[in-house]
Amino acid sequence: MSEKVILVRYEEIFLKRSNRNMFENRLIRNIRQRLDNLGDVRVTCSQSRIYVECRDEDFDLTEAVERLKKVFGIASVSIVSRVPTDYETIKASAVGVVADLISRYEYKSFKVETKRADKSFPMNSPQISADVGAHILKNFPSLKVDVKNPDFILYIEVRESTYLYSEIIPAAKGLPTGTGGRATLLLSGGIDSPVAGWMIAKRGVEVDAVYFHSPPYTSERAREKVIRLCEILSEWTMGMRLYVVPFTEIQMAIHQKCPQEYLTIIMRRYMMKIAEQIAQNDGSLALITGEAIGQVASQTMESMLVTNSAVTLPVYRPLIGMDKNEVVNIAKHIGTYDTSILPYEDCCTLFVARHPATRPSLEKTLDFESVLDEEQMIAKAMEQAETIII
Amino acid sequence: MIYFDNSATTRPYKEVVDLVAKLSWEEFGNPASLHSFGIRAERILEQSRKQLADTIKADPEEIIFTSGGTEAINFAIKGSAEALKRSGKHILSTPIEHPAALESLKVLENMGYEVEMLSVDGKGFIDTGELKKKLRKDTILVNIMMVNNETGVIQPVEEAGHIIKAGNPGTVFHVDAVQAYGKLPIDMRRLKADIMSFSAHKIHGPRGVGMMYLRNGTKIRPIMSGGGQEKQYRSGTVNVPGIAGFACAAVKKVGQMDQDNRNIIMVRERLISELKKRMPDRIRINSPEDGLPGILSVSFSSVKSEVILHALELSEIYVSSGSACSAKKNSISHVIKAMNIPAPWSDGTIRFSFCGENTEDEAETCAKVLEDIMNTFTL
Repeated sequence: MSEKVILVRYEEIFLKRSNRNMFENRLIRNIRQRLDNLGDVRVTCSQSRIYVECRDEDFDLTEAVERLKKVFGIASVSIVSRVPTDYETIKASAVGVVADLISRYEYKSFKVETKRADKSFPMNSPQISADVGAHILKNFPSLKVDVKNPDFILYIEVRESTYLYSEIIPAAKGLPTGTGGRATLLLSGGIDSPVAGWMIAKRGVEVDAVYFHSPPYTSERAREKVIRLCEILSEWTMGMRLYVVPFTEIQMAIHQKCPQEYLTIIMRRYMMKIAEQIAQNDGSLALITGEAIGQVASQTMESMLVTNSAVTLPVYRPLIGMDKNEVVNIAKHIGTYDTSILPYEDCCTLFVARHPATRPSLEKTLDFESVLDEEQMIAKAMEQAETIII
Repeated sequence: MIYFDNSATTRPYKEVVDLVAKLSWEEFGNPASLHSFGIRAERILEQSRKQLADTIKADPEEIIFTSGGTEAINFAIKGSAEALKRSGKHILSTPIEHPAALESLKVLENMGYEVEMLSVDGKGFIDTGELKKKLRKDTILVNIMMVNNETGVIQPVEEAGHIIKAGNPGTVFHVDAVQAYGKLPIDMRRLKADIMSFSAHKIHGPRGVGMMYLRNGTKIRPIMSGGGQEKQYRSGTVNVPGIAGFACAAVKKVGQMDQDNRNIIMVRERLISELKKRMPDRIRINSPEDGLPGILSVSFSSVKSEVILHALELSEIYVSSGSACSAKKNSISHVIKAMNIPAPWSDGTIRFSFCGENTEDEAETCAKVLEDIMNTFTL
């Protein structure tokens, strides 16, 4: 009689009146994709809500909710009991829902909130709330009603069917992945860059990542760590491509031919140039970095001016005004933090000058760079880049 | 693939793998069970105990099985200190022990024991004169490893045993023999150690199996609480297939010890001579000439050890580094530090460790690759 359904709510999509269909369809498609291997599900949309119905007996609702919490565009989800819109049935099922709740939590007080979308239903919302509330009190003498500060709220939504639930679980918010174009993330393995990628992905952008690998100065474990970070990110981003670009030769050439204090800045410019070429091959419209003003020598405003000049694509820096602890909090929220802090310190620190230029000049940089065979080195790195689909 | 990392772990002998698989499948009984199927497992266990005891000329009664070298060392150090705490709190050790020992000693220090370190010289040797001087009436434990895992230095444990027993017969002498077993003769009738620790996987046996030699009459407090297996010394269901695999590996390894060592010396000498020929000014041999042939510590100038390690792995040559490449201090191994190896060398320390199956050709290839690495990656 009553069946369990997941109710999915979205908010921001309302704002996009003309594109609304496109956003909704994309969100439904993304939900289907994320729940794909969990069993036979039906995803439908009605009156600005999405319902996920599970047809398998042993469908793992908890896992489904965990996955939906990471789908951008979803504001919140609830596991709801759906029953036919018939008053006696609603009352009986309210008792069932409450019995389940108080068996799991130490709840003492409650209230009932009703929304009546189906105006043909003979009772109005306050009447339903009052009457169902009284029925619950009669069945559970240990509970009392508290309208100001209840331990739980029983929500009843009367529509073509009626939905009963108590928990509203906040989800990822943002916009559905795939509605915002594509961008290319420079991913290092530290704390910042995965967060930067996540923030842009949250706006509906499909994100690919580029990692610069310098064996033997960076270890195989550092590469594994970056792959792991992409796996965590892709739970939010609906999959991603990771490009692993061999960078040792370029680094050694810069080290041999350019002044020490400009090593980092010239290296950063090469990374930007290679990422831009990868982006352009993929129809990506921007680069993403995890830079924040003043965090390290290569992230002063002067340094960023010099690195930015290496490319023509826009460079998105969503962390630009954030403090480290703010970034750490997001990293913990999205699940990348514990992997980011794994101690595979690589020997790239060998390429960091003791006193890197904090106020590099573009003119000098271009001059120092001119001794390098840029075209040939970048072409070789591009050719040897490895693509990993995650 | 060239595997020069045999002090980290070894590839088990094929017959060991086969035996462990066969016994896991066929003789899965618990030796503590009262029924005849359990008694069959017990028989295999006792036969293995006898075989292993024979390899070190000990009484089977003196063998206690553990989950590996680390557990045996923890048990030896913590268990004997606990058992003897009424006789004193003073413990002597070398500073170049394995972390299993050093960390156990730290725990004891925090509990109020007095842990004193003996010094080592530039080659890593202890001074037995110093040991004699530092031994006190209230010294309850002396802890010395037989072979150091990073340099291969062989400590004079036999002499140390005589000094300890002459100076204070009540002092327990623990010898970590994890790197020595199967590579040097060990004779418990001559060696005056009360407790010794051993591991199976360093001699082509299975992982997760070790043993402790506990001389009859030596007091020790168990560190595992439970069903009282191994004569109350070590609780936990006994890993019969693993122990049988250990015995199988030990009998073979000890049996062919001399032949393996002759072969290993050839490989080691070849690697040293090739390196000396190709880059005489850029290497420093840290291991003593009279150390264990299977362990060779070499420092390279101007390239960090982690860079060398990762560059070697690109050619499928596997070694260990004596230091981690990081901006952090204290990344250099405690052994290299205790030996006072000067800074430009200590940063580039590599440990090559051989087994009987390595060849001179492998040593030559390795030296060639190292030459390329030194030419390419010197910054």
